[in-house]
Amino acid sequence: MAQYLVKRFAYSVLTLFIIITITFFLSHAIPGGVYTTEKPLPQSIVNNIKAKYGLDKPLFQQYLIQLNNIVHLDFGMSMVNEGRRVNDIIAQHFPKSALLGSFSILLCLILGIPLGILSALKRDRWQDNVSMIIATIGVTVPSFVVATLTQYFISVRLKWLPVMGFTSFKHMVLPAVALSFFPLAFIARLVRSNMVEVLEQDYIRTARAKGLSRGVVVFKHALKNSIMPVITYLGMLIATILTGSFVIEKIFNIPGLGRFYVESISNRDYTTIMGITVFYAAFLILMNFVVDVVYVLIDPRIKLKQ
Amino acid sequence: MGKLLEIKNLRTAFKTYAGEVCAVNGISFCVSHGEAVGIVGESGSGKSVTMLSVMKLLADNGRMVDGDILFDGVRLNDYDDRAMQNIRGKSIGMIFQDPMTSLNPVFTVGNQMVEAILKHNRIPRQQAWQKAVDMLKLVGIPNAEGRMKQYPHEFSGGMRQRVMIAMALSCEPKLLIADEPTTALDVTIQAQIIELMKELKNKINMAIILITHDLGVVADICERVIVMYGGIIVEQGKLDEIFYQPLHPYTVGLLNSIPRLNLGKNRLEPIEGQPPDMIHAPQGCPFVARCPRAMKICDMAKPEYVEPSEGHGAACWLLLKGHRGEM
Ligand SMILES: Nc1ncnc2c1ncn2[C@@H]1O[C@H](COP(=O)(O)OP(=O)(O)OP(=O)(O)O)[C@@H](O)[C@H]1O
Ligand SMILES: [Mg+2]
Repeated sequence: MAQYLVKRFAYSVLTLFIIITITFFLSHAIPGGVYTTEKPLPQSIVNNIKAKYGLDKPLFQQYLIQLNNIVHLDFGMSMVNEGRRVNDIIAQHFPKSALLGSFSILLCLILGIPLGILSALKRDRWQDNVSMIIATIGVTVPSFVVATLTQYFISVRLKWLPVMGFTSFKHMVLPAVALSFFPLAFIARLVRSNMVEVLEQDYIRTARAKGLSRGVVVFKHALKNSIMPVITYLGMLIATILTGSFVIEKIFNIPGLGRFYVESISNRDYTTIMGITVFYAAFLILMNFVVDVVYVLIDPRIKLKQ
Repeated sequence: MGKLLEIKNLRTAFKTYAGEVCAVNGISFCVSHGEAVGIVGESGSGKSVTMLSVMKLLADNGRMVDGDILFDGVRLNDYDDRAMQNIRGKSIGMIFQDPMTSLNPVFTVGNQMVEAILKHNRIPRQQAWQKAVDMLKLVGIPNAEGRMKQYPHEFSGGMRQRVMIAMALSCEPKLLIADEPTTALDVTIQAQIIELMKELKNKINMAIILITHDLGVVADICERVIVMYGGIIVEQGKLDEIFYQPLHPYTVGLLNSIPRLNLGKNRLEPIEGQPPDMIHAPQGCPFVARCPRAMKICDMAKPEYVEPSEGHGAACWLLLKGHRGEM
């Protein structure tokens, strides 16, 4: 086990290193720079900015400096947000995205899984058809459409919920719904197709032949066997959804991390790009690890390897 | 011996793309307390469907269209799924063909055994656990305590089938239905499992319905034999009667197709032809197309089941027309 963890950790560090390298050179390969504004700045000012952030040094040297910073878990100063450290930006805005994301994921699970089970149990009957129509709409309609439509009808017209901002639970409802639309539908379909398959397995017949009730057969014997793909998907989903969505945060004016990420790219804010990318990647790697562990806990046939 | 299970004119149909297809078409037989009955017949003859109808465990597209099922004095027709839950596992245990897939891979063997015991007995968990351990010992699983905490994939096929048997017997059912319990196992293990079932049958006086392709297994353990073909019973009788005085040409063919060392016959004769197409069910006897002694009438009408001697009968025009001849 210890050996497994060490190996796994080493692989993760290697992965991160590759991601850092690629991110660094790619972001610097985008034409323009922090100093690019609509009205061209005088050359002397550009030079000053370059000097301030060390952008006048050779690229490879910049790379080494940034690498050194990251090793010390310091992503440096943001080049665009005056006087703010990238670490602080993440610390301040990530929790907002994470809160909203967690709420959406909760929504996905408590609605998506039962919807999938219902469909599987009532296969080809109206309950199944209705849920699968909902699910198909869910995976095809983009989140910004859901967001703007609900914002218009529920907030602007009906005035049931606030239009934008992020100061109370009420503010979270619409963005969370918009965020969870696709994954909810996806999970429902995933659960349905797996459940349908599992319900035809021999061990389900054995369980029923023992006299177990429908509930025990479905929720104990079938569910645990059909939930694996959902766990895989969930690992990915948690990493993407918790780190924030640019579009939704923009529409509802939520001060989350997603917006900073996209804006940092269009502003060539190299340190912020790197900081959020590394943070995101590390999060994803951690989630993958969690998924693998959960796998082993659920299915005894699977062993931790590599 | 009183009657434990009585099936009268059972018909079971499945919805398919070609409409409703009758897989079991008017079957009647009885099983007495403590009796071992073998059901033989080739693949697709309706053996499993018959027993799944009794358990009410048919696939979603199947239903019992006609007939009565009486078990231990009660009419199971009237039982809904909830009522059947108290019969399944408690009064009737069932084990299946493939032990590799019949246990849930994500729960320990102990967990799966205990849940069956707790479902039917009001006893503390600890006691149920002990009962499960005792059952595993009874079916000859070494280190039963330790094995309880293991998962199915840590067991061999033979051991898993022993677990299945232990599980099916844990609530002391009056009837054990074994649907090809040894087909998926290799020959030596097969013999062990059959030996085990024989031993347990004597120990706890339960009736067994053994579904199998293997007449050798039937000869080993059963007192009575039911021969099925194309969804009907073509012949039934005591073991000796079936083996030495078969009435139906299909039974004769079946006997000729198995190796029997003691009869000095060294050529096996397979039954020529294909089993009947159930979607376009034949109007007459289902065996007519392959029967070496088919007559005109066989093609036109179904023969009634008749018993020339008490408890031994067949559904064949040869019996009905009075010329039995040597077969
Ligand atoms: N769910 C189903 N839908 C449609 N037809 C079915 C279904 N289950 C069984 N059948 C049909 O019922 C007939 C009898 O099947 P059954 O499983 O009882 O055969 P069997 O005698 O047990 O054969 P085997 O020895 O292969 O187990 C077959 O023709 C089969 O195709
Ligand atoms: Mg079968």
